[in-house]
Amino acid sequence: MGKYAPLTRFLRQQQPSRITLRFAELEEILGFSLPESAFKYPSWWNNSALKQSQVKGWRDAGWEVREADLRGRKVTFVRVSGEPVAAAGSGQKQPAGVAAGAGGGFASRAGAGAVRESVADRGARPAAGRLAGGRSASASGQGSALAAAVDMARLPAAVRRVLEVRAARHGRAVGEEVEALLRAVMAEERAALLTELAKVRTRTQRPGAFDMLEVLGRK
Amino acid sequence: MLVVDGTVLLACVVETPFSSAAAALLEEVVGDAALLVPQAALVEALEGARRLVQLGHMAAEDMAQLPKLLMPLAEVLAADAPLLEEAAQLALMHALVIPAALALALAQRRGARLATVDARLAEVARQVLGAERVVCVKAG
Repeated sequence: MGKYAPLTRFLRQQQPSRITLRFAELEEILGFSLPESAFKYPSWWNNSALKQSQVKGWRDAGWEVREADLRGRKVTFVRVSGEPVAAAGSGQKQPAGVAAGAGGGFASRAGAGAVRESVADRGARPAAGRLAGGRSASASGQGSALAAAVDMARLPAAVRRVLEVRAARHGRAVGEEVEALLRAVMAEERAALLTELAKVRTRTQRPGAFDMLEVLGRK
Repeated sequence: MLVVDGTVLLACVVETPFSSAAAALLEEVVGDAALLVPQAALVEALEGARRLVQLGHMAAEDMAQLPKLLMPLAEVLAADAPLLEEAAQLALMHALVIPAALALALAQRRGARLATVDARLAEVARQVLGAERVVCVKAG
């Protein structure tokens, strides 16, 4: 996956065929700051240089840049091919204040949300670390990162259907179901690790005969 | 989010008066999926285990499998380098060993709680982070 894969996922999941993003919102989606070139050179926002990772990011989603407003620090993308794909995040992780384009109103549409990796964990600058609803990325915890890790568009249709059925059965959004499943797997794995550690611990020889803090040089 | 230092990790690996409480702590955060471990804590725990092998308290084969048991426990394995400057200052200011200071610096930077078996570190952490963000693992 390329550096701009979060943008690819975001665009694929949009319902409208036109969207305007402020640069700050784009950075929030990406989880890192845009390069200086993006702020200085209109050519950075081209649609033809597919060897450039950012261009690949929007072209892979079937979108193109219609207008880059460097002075206003915003960019308008339009869909040129493909259809919207359901988001694992189920509309919960839209960047705050994203401006809808001509096909507007997407922010309020069910299932139109973006998913992405935790901004905070990737060391992005704090200004880019806010999620919708005033919730900070760091406060959102692993849940959002787990959902963001799943690109629903790349899952086989059968898997998506199973997730949808399970989600409906549990009264959850698909993204919540993905998160719950991954959490369960993680909990199971960690429990197994703790069991193994307990076994190691029971094999300690003469346990009362040493001071652990002294061994660690903490005394 | 909870940061654990090397003392908590080592207490989970060898039988000490703190082991039950340390293991219970890690079990509690299992579902939470928010365990932060500084790389230095792993190094410190592993070095402690190596010394215990030398002293005849631990089998070499048990020590050898610790990396693969401890590393996956961390939801975030935090790099030490970005924290070294803060850690150096904390270490000098509060007379902490560097691994302890790194754990404190990580908790401070992430706004996380800090868990330790080391009462001295816990005492300093209460001053730096506030008492509500410090878990001092007690002997059971």
